[in-house]
Amino acid sequence: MSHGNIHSRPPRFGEWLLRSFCSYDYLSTALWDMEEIYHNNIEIKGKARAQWLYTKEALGVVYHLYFKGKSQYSINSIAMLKNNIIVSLRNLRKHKGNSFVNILGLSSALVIFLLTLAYTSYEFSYDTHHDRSEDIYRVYKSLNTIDDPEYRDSGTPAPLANTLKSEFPQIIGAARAMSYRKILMEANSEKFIEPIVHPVDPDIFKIFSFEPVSGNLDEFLNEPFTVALSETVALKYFNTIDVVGETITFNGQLPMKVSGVFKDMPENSHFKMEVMVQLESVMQAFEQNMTLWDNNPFYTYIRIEPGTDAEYLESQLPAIRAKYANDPLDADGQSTTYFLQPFTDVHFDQKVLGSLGTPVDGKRLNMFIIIAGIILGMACINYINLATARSIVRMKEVGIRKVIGAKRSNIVLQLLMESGLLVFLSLFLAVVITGLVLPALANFVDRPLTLKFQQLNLWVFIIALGLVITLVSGIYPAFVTTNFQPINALYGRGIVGKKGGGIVRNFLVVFQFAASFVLIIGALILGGQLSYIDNKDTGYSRDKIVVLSTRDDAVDDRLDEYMEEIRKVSGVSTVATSWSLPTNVTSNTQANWTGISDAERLPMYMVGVTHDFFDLYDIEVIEGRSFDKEIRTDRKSILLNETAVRKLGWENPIGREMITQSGIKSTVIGVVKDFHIKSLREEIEPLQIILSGNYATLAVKIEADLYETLVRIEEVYDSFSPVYPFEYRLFEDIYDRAYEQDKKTSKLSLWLTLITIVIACLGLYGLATHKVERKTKELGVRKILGAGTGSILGLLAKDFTKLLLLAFLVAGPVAYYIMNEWLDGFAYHIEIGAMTFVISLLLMVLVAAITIGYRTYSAAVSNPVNALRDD
Amino acid sequence: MKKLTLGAFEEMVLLTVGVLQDNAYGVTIKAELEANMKKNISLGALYAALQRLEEKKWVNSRVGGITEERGGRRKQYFDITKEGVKALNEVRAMRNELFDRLPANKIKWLDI
Repeated sequence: MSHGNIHSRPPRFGEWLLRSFCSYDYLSTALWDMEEIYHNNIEIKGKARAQWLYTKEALGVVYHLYFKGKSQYSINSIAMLKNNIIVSLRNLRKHKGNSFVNILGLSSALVIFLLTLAYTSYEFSYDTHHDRSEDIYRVYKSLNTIDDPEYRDSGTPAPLANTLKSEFPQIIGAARAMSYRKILMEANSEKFIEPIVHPVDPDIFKIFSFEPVSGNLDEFLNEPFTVALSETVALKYFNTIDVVGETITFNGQLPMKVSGVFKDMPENSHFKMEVMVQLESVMQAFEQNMTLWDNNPFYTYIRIEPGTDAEYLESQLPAIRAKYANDPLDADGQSTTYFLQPFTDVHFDQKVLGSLGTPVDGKRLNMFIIIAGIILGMACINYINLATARSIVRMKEVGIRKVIGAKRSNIVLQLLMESGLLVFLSLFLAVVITGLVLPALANFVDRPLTLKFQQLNLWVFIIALGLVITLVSGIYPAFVTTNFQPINALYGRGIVGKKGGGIVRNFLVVFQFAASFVLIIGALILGGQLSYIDNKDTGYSRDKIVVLSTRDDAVDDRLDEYMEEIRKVSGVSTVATSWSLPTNVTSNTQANWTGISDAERLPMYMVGVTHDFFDLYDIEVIEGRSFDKEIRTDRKSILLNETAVRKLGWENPIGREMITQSGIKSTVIGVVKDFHIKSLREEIEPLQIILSGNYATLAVKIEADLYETLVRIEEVYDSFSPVYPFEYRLFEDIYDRAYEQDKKTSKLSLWLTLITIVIACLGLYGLATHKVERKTKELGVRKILGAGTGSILGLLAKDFTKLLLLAFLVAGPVAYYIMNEWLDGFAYHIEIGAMTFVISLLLMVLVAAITIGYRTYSAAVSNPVNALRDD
Repeated sequence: MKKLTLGAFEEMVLLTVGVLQDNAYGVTIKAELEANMKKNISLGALYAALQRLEEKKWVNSRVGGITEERGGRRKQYFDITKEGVKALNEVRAMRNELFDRLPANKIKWLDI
């Protein structure tokens, strides 16, 4: 904050105040003098205090010159304004019930709106800090070998980036990137486990905007075995940022020279690079073949010349693929197709698999905005309804004003003033509540959300929002209220023969109810589906299974010994490794055997496991046998799942010969019961299981006290790997994470439903108020003629029942359609039953009955004399 | 014609403008006043007073030239006018007259 004070601008808000209020001759004076004081204050008291003092002074100047001074600007409108405010406040206080209802509705809707805004604006700000980010694209691919038109994946081959760059002059920069998790880095003879390290090409600095802190950006990562660090990491490793030329050992084996330090990337980047190592040299060290076109471990990002036609570029990619990758275009197209995707869309695209960072569902964000807007709209509608209803009561007041000689515009202004007061009170309340709730929401969505109160444009937005809402919801009632002959008003005749508003009003209430219905039904179905997922038999057990992380080569080298040691730990019942967890089998291949026809080459998933895998996860072998430690030939054996057998159409699978991915002829020895190899959103795919010592996960089943046993396992682990910390995850947690998004949606939808119901009730309250106000006289007459309280309540409830049923008829199909769409995303889901609708209807009827009953009961039991006194 | 009056704060401002001679503008007047009155003066109040003084023709204002230190900003200087000095004199004379009429023992007591 220290530099740049000389040119620091005073707070804009203060200037704006001055410019908008001050008469010309003193405006410039004030501006000049205050700027000087401001700069003096910065020197003495620091920037923040100087800013505050400036604003305070500005307020003072405006107060003295505009409100108190005798300038030509202090006109009567100020006095009028004062009077209006006083009257408005008086009205607010006088009708506590109405004001409360309005403020409650508006502020809760505004809280939802502001929270949604805080969240979505943060998400939409992702990746916007790079210069000309619209010229940055990511290359992704789709594979035609996988029998799924929706399949897209972010992995691209090694030669792609450079090929594109040499083929197309309009590509300024092309870089590959990868990410390694939990890499051991040694600097200054200290060891650090770096959570994520990115091997990248030096072009990355041409594509994205990085700010160098030390070193020259052009020289970052230009030489082999160099590394670039973010400021934070540099400080962590060396306690200084002046580290160019220092050495860091990567992964305990490769010494690397620091070639530069860059400013930390903002949190809202879809990848946040902290440590970058030169990709080419690391790959060489790992003996990775960098010429293969069908090995896809890399991300590819490109930057194009401004104004380049990206669509044309994309259309050229198949030709490139044909030319270099020997993948000619035949009848059914190439095996792989490349696409360009605008870089700023990456964060919102969950369809492309394996992206860097954690993409969010862009559609869902838009949905939130729409819902928040609808809720806000509903709250405004409620206000309109209530205010219009009150217009009947206020006719006398307005009539008297008119007779005294108020112009219509004065009264409209006065009424708008009242709306404004109410709206801004609600807004103030909403901002306070939002400020309180936001940390919880930030925690919930796992984003650093803040309302930037120090930023002027937030305030401008909030004030503008207030004004817009005031106008939207205030203007109609104001005109209705003032639109009559004063003489009628003073006679006490209501608005005679004006039925036009009724249809609109009823429509609005039906709309609100329908929205509430949709949300209630939606919430019920969401909850139902989630509990179904929780309780569904996935075909494997998750209980008491712990997944251990072994990142250390020292452990890998002695894996058998390590597993043996863990087995000896008391409390451990089974240990097994596999290529992946049963929840998420990713490796895919094709069915293959000698003499297979093309039609039979159906896609298959594949997982390599060790002997105890089936035991550990309780996966049932329903035919044949599982792998046996005593039988040496089991290295050439295969198990299939039921789906694979069914899709292959084999009667007796046991003993059939298949050829695995690595070309080994193997015999099918057994069939396992189907288990869900992906999330419940997807069908169970055909699966081959082979015996393999390669592994990605090591799982342990624990039959004693979990944490005591884990402590004992940790002791074993530490004796094998003194460097890397012991890490474990509960399988249950990993499983839950797959449905975390849905669980969050369910929680959110519960809140939204609640608020919507509240607002719909307030709308109903408004409608009931309106009815009661209009029928005061009628009710009075009926009572005098002997109608009981019950019959009067019935009379009032009759209309509402109609509206409620109508809303239900509208909402039912809509909710059914929307929820069916959502459920269709799951291959295994509940059916929407009639019960759901019945429950939602009962709930709404109950809520409506309470609301209307509350409002009309007082009218029904009131003394009819009061009602008829007017005439 | 209504006699123009000089308020206490206005008097202080007018005096300060006189004292500062050619260097009287918002910032300096404020600083001088604050030094003498030992309290914070809001610029708004100061301008209001200056505005009233100007209306009564007791100060003149002129826009000063560009200076280095204000980064090319101009400033509005105030000068006390003849009438301004006269008004100060009148107030002072009135005050002195009243002061002279204070009983001697009161003055003694006041001097402690």
